[in-house]
Amino acid sequence: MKIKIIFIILIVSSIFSCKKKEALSLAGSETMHEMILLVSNEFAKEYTEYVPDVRGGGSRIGITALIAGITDIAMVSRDLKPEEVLDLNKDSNLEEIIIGYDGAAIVVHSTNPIQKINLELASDIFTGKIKNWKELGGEDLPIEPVIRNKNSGTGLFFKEHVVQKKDLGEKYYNPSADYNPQSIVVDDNIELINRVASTKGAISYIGMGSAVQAGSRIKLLLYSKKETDEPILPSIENVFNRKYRLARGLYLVYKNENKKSVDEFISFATSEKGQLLVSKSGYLRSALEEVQVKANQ
Amino acid sequence: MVSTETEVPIVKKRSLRNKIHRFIERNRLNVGITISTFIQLGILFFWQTPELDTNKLDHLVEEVAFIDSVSIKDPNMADAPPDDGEVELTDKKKVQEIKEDPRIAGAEDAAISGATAPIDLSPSIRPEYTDQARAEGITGTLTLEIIIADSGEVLQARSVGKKLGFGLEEQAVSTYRRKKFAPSILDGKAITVKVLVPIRFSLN
Repeated sequence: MKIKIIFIILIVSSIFSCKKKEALSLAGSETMHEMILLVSNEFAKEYTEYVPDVRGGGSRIGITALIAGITDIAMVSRDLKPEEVLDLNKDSNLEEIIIGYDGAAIVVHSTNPIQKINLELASDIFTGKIKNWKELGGEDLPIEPVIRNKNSGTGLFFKEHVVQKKDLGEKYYNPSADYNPQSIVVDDNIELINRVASTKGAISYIGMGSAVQAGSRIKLLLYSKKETDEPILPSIENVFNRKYRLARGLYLVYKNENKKSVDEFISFATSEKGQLLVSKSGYLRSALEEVQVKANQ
Repeated sequence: MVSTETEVPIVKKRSLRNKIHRFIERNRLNVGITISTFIQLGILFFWQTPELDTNKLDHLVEEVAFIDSVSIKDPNMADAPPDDGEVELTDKKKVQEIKEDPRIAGAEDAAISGATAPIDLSPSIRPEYTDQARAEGITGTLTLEIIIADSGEVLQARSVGKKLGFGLEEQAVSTYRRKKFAPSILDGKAITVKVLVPIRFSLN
C-alpha cells in the first residue's frame, strides 16, 4: 500500500512539475544556419522552457516566413529591401539586430593555380564576359560559375556589390548587370562546396565562416577592390581591421511584439556568451565587450 | 486420454500468469519505477514537446520556388511608382524619428562601411544598480543599441531584447546618453554609427 502511494505521489508530482515548453522558430540565411544552431543549442540549455527550431533555405525564405507569421526570427545575411521593410512594419515594429559580421569569400577548386582576384575581374567572370581561366593566366579550362538560388542573401549581396560593381562607386555601378544565365545554380552551401570541390573549372562565392568550415576542399582567393590595391585574404582578422572589403552584417530580424522567447533569444545572442559562439563559428562578433555592473546585495 | 489433452493448456496459461504475478511481487519497486518512468517519458514527449510547424515552412519554400518559376507582368504597372499613401500610413513612426535627428536613420555600421570603431572617452561613466533592483536581487544581461553621432555624442540609446526591469534599463540608457565618444572615421571623415553594448548586472 505504501509503495502504491509513493508511485501515485511520484506520478502526480511529475505531472504538476512539468512546464509546457514553447517553440521558437528561426529560419533564413544558409550562411547563418550553423552559427545560429550553435547559439540556439546553448540557449536551450540555459532556457529549458524553449525548444528552438533552426531552418536554413536562404535569407529570402526567412523574411517571407516572418512576414507570413510562420517564423519568429528571420536570419538575414543582406540588407533588407525597402518593400520588405514596409511589409514587416505593417502590423508591428520591425527590429533588425546585427549579431555578427561575415566576409563573402570567392572560392575555386583546390588545384586552381590562380591566387587572387579583383572586383572587375570577378564581375566579368560571373557575368560571362571572361569564359576561360587562361584569360587570367591559368590553365586552358572553361570557367564554370556556381551561384546560389534566388533565396540566397549571399547571392544578392554578391550580385549587388561585385557583379553590378556597386563597391566601385556610383560611376561604375550597373544595376542591370546579372549573373551569367549559364551558371550552375545550387540550393545551399553544402551543394556549393561539393560542386566547387569536384569541378576543376568552378568558381563561386560563399560566407567566410562556411568557407572555413569546408577546410582544404576548396581554395579561397585573395580579393581586392581595384587591381592596384593589395589583395587580402578573407578572414575574421581582416574584416576586423577593415582590410577585407567584402564585409557584411548578419542580422536577426523580428517583429517587436514583446514575445518573451524572442526577447530572451536576442539578449542571449548579443550577450558575451552568445557573441563568443558567433566568434567560434568563424564570424566576427558585433557587440562590444560586455560591461560588468556588480553590487552587494 | 481425452481429458489429459484438454487440461495441459489450462495449466500452462495459469503458470505464465503466476510467473508474472510472482515477478511483480518480487520486484515491486523496480516494476513500479519502470512504469513511472515510462509514464513520465510519455508526458515529456507528448505533452511537453511543442508542435513545431515545419510543414508550413516546407510549403513556403515550395511556394517561393513556384513564384520564381512563373512571371506575371502587368504592362500598365511595369513602371508604376511605389504607393506613396501606403508608405505614409505604415512608416509614420520612422518619419517622426527622422524629424528628430536625420543622423539616427542614417547611422551606419562601422565594420561594414570600413570605418574605425568609436572609442569611449568617458569610461568612468558606468551604469549602476538601482536600489529597487538590488533589493529584489535582480541579475542578468541587457543589451543597449546606441547611436554615436559624428560629433561623438550619443544620439540615441535604447534597450533591445529581454527587459530586466526595476529601473535598470532606464538607468543604463540615461548613463549612455551622458557618455562621450571619439567618433568613427571613414576616409578621414567622422560618421554616425550604431553599436550594441551588452551590460551584465550581477550581485555579490
